[in-house]
Order: sequence, then C-alpha cells, then structure tokens
Amino acid sequence: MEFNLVAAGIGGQGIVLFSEVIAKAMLAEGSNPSFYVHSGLAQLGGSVSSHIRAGDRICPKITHGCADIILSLELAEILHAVPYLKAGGKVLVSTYTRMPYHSTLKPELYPTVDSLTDLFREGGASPVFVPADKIAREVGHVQVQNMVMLGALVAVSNIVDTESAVKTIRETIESGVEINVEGFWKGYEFISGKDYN
Amino acid sequence: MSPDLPPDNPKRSPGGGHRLLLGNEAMAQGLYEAGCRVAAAYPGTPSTEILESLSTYQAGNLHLEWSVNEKIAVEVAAAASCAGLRSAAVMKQVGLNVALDPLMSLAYTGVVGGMVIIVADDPGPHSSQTEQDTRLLAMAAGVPVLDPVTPEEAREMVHQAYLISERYQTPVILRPVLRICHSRGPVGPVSDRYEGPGPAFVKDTNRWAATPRHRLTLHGELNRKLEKMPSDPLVSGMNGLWRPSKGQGEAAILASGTSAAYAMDLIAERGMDEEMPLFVVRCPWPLGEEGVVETLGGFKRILVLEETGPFLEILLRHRLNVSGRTDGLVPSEGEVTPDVVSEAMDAFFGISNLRSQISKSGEGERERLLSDPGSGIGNPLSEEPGAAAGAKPSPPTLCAGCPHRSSFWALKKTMPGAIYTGDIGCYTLGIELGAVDTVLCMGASISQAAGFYWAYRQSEGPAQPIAGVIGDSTFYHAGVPALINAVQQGAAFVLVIVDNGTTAMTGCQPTPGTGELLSGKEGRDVPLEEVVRGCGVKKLWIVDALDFDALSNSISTAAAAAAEGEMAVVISRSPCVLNITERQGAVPAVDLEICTACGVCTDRFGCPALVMEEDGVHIIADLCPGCGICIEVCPTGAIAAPGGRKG
Repeated sequence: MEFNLVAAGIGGQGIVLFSEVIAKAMLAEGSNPSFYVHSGLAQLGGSVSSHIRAGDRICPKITHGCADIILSLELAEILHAVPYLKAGGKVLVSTYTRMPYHSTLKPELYPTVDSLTDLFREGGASPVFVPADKIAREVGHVQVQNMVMLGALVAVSNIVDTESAVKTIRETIESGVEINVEGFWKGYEFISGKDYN
Repeated sequence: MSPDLPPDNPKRSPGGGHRLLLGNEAMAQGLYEAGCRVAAAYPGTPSTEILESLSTYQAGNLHLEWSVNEKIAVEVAAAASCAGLRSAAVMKQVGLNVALDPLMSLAYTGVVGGMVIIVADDPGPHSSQTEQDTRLLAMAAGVPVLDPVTPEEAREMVHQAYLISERYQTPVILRPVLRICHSRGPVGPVSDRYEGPGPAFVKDTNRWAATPRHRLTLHGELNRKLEKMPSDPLVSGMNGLWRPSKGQGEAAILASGTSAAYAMDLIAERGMDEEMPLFVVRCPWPLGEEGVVETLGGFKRILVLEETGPFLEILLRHRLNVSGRTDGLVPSEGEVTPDVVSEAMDAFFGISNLRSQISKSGEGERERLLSDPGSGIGNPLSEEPGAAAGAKPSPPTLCAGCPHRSSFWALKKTMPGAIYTGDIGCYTLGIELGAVDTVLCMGASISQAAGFYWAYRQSEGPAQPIAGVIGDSTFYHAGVPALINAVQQGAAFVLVIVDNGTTAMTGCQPTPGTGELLSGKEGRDVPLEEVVRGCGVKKLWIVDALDFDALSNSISTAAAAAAEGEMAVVISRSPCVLNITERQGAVPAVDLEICTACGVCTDRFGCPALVMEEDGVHIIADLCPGCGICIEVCPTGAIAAPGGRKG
C-alpha cells in the first residue's frame, strides 16, 4: 500500500510517539513504513513535523503535493503541512491552540476555525476539526491529544486497523496505557460517530 | 603494513525481526555488531542519539563516554585504535572543527584497530552555526569518507568503514546528514558482535611520536594509501549505477547521500529509469575518477546532486560536463530537499510537461491549490507556508520556568547598555530577551567579551560594561582555556555561567559537574566553582537563579567589581526544568483589575505560559511550573503569588 502522511504540531505534543505508533502498526501489518520527524529546536516549543509513508519509496521525506492526508495537533500548525497536500487529500486539524508568543502582539493574525475553513474551501478541500484537547481532558489528561488524533486519523483513513493500532499503543507506551487507549477510541468515535463500547 | 583482516561483513539472519529504528540507532547497531570497543562523543544535533543508543547494548568490552569536547573524543578513540581495538568518535559537523587538530595528524600516523569517525552534517542548517560539508575536511585531512543513502545503509557502512580502516590503517569518516540520522525505517535484527583482538600497543616512535623528518615519510605513506584506495573493490565497489543502463546517451545523474535517495524515488515515481540513468557515489573521497568516467563518459551532460557543497561536481568538472551548483541548477545554500531535486531534474532533462503527465497518472501530483495561480489559497502558501494566514511558525523559546530566562532578565535589568556576548546552547535564545548580542562558536562568549574589553580600553569615553553568558556544559567544552586567558591577560568583565546541571539543548546529557556517566554509573564530579577558581578567578558569586533579588544583587556587585578591573564570575544555578521532579512553586495569579496589558511579560520576558487576551494577561496553568519570576517582571504588580513562593 502506498500512503503518505504529513503530521504537524509543536514540541511536547508527542508527534514522535504518534508517528512511531502508526509506523510500528504498519510494520506489524506487513507494509514497509518509514518516517522522519523534523524536530529541530522542538524541545523548546518550536514547530515539529513528521513525514510518514508506506510503500516502496526509499526515503521518508515527502514531496510537495503528495500527501494523502495532512494532520495537525495544533490549529495554526496545519499551515505548515498545506504545501504537501495532494488534490483530493484529507485534512484533519486539532482545534487546540497555542499562540506563539509573537502572536500575542498581533492576535488577529492567528488563524481561526473559520478562517482555515475558508482557506481550504477556496482550494477545494474541507478540513475536519477535532477538539482533541477537550476530548483528552475528558479522558483524563491533556497529554493524550496525540492519541485522540491518532484515533481520528484511523477513523478517516483505515491506514491501519483499530486492532493493530491499539495493540501497538499498548506495546509502545510505558505508562498511562489505558488512558492513551481510551484517548485513541474517543478520537476514533468522534469521527466515526460510533460508540466503541 | 597489512594487518590481519577480519572476515567480511557478518552474515545477518535473513528476513523477519525487523525493528523500526532511527538512522542514529541503526549506526549504533552497526557499531555494536562491528565490535567497537571504545566510543567517545560530545552531544550535538543531529548525532546525539548514536552513543545514547549504543549505551543500551549489553557489552562487557565496550567503553563509552561523553567526552568534554570533540577533540578529546577523537584522541581517546584514536589511542584505543593505536592499541589495536576498534573504536569510534561521534560528533556533529561543527564538532569536527574542534577535532580537526588530532584528525589532521592522525591521518599521517594512521591507526591499527579500525577507527570510524561519525560526523553528522546539518544542511539547512537546522540546528547548527554553519552548513559546512564534512567531505571537504575529510579531503583536506586525507581521510576516506563514506556518504550513506539510507539509514540501513548507514549501518552497513559502519562495517564497511571498519574494513577499509583496518586494510589501510587509516581513520574513516562516515558522514550521514540530518535526514539519515533522524529518519526511521525497518532495520534488520542485530547480528553477532565481532570479537577483534585485545589491546596490544606496539611502540614505534617513528610513527606514534614522529618528528618532522618522519612526518615527511608518513605523508608519503598517506599519499600512497590514497592513490591505492580508489581502485580497491572494497572502495570502488560502493559506487555504481543504481539500475543497469545502456551506458551512453544525452544526459545522466550522478548523486550521493540523501540526494541519491530522493532521485531514486522520483525516477521510480515517474517510471523514467531509461531516460534518467543514475550513478550513485557512496565513497566521495578518495574518488576513483576513472571508474566514474568509464561509466558516465558516454553522456553529454551530467547532473550532480549532493549535499552540502559542490564537492563531486568540482572533482569531476574537468572530466565530465557537469551541472548542478556551479551553473545554478541547484541552490548553493540550504538543504537539498526532494522538491529541490525534483525541480533540478525537471530543468536538467527539459521535461516541461512532467507535471501534467504525473497529474494524469493520478500520482505524485503537485497540489493544484499550490500551482494554480487562480485558486487563491495556493500561491501565498507555496511561498512561505503559513504566510497566507499570517501565522508565523512556532519559534523556539526558552521553556516556561527556565532558569535561564531569570538570569537574562536580571542581567538586562542590572547591566542595561552592556555588550552581551552569548554562546551555544538553549541560552542562545536569550536573543529573544535582548540579552545576547553575539554568538560565534563554543566558548567564544568569554574570549569575545575579553576582546571587546581590550577594544573599549582604547576608547576615551565612559567605560563600556561587558557581560558574557555561557552554559555549564559549554564552559567545560571550550570555556575553560578562554577564562584562563582572560584572567591571565587582566581582562575585566562579568561572566554569568548559567548552570542548569545538564547539556539541555541536546537532550540532557550529563556534564562533568554532575559526575554522572553515559553508562548511568556514578563517576567523579568536577565542580564548576572549583574549575572557575582554578582558572584564577578571585571574584565569584554562586546564586540560585530563581532567587531573583539575590541574583540581581550578585550581578550588580559583579558589575561594580568588573568596573574596578576585576574578572567577575556569577554562577547562576538552578536545575533545568526538564529535569525537575517537583514544581518550582505555585502558579501565580493575575489581577486583571491591575493588569494594563502592557505586554512586558508576554513580549519582552516572553514566557510561553503567559498569554495576552482581551482582558489582560492569563497564565496557562498546564505550562507554568511556578518559577514566579513573572511576579518580578510585571511593572504594575498585577502578578502575585497566591500561596507565596516555595522555599
């Protein structure tokens, strides 16, 4: 299966873990995954992005206009992933916002759900917004937003099946496994509208 | 000069058992398998995880260390190789500048046990001062260099490098770029560890302690090695056509490293194997030019794709009609991304309608949104992602509660108008607080402050205050000789050593100040204050970085001492927030009645836990560890501690 995904977020949101779980689940399902996390100074709250692909390709870096799905764990960060989106590709955005401190000077420049919707609509794409931080808090910890978005991703794409995703979460995460699994299902449920119980 | 050669690359168990590994982890696996016995490194992005990963392998006969700097790492590893063991030194590309002294000499003396120097380049640059190309330094030193195309290949090349190193008794540089180091992909299972001979140093002063006369002989030996290597199948076998081709025609590509990987993907995507023959160079130096010319001589034009400079392009330009950086087809600076490769290939092969062809096949289509000027969303975004909506990328910033922010604020407050010399580490971000004016290289904060001092001593005007800021790990790395020099020469300025007890920027590796070792075992600590005093400093203050009044007073007193002609050092100490196990204090409260939304705390102080909203400043409790410094920063007194500050 050929598959290209660009995920964006900010340091501390768990993009690496998010990417690792997808790629490991893909590996377990027999596809040939690779991923690249561009972290730079992410430890200090900077932008982080991850390119995840499966198929025959040799390197994980995706060219512009080739991503089947772009996704972000923070509202404004989706803008970094836009150039990678292919025509007809899907867009998944967490509505969690963390304003870069520069934006505190000009908050009007920070995008909103509406401005992003308009922006994508003009280009023929319709983003799906997920209140990942709200869902994560309901589950019990804001830190599981990445798993919420993972659940949402699996629900919109079927890139891996839910069983192997959950199994991989259990194998990969060392502490707070249940809350992470719960976050995954809540994200999945948010998109599919089905109650996993 | 023909050492007993170890067997070829160990056989690996076929199929199955693949793990998803970082390129750096793959290289660590290679080092373990190849029987590396001594490995030394100084942490630096993108190379850091190599030694961290190697430390997770259980091997009794393996010494690992975070050396104080890269020069020392190379010297430690080199001695082990001279004793006959396989060794490795690991660093980022600017680290090789520090280690260039031993490397140049080591090329002459050579080694006995295999020695691999892994130097990770950072085209971009994403987290470095320069975009320098390590291959050029390898050439200058006369040391072979290997350029891996994929992470798995980087692991294989560790084995290959040891074989070359031992056959020619020379250190070998393995040069992965950032995209190799930080990519993850499936890597085969760990094979059995090669068990080489134990230590047996053979004394030979003409070699190991050579005087200039013998150095001339050694230089001759080095040149003979470099002449022989390119025709050795062990070396030349690494270079060749990616897929069989007819061998002549209009145009072909010559590529190395990740650029070759991108070219492979793009050629495959386009199904243009025949039209775009690709020659891959895995050993760029010493290059068997004859082999390359034999294969590519029949082509009229050659596109060269490589990182970071036009190395192969310049080597081959007199033998082949090359294109690339020298004729502007590839940008001279910045990373060679798949998009750069794609554009260069299109332009070179003159395939103007390629995009529409791909579009028809429904694959790899460049997004309509971006290429169609009429679509609105595309163009602004394609120029600079995010620019359309005005959102800047989240810039890196010091963490909420970072003790460095307190130090910078105190420095700005007590020494306004000073020249602030900065250094390399998280605290380079003091730029955001206006408390860093210069950043040159590791340790330069101290010597630059001294240089400014001597420059302004010649001025008739009022004395110019000067303050340097350096982190603890950087101080041990390159600051110590600079401080000895400043003291001995009689320079007088304020030096703030921001001591968070760790090498935070690269992921919190231990420093000599903590005594902790890479192995996790307890070593001997080398306390910072003893080193500072040992450098001859008489005026030293040690203060809690989060005790803002005490810190300000210390810097203020130090500034007065510096004005009197004393070298004055303040150690501003508090653990890195990434390492604290309990809160620094309670989350302060903002009185929105008093807050005037002046922006001093959000803009100038710049703590990410503080956000300006319509009614004033709010504190994001999830982010705030409670350092309480914003209480001191607020000019109107709107921020206060609810339960008083801790301890």
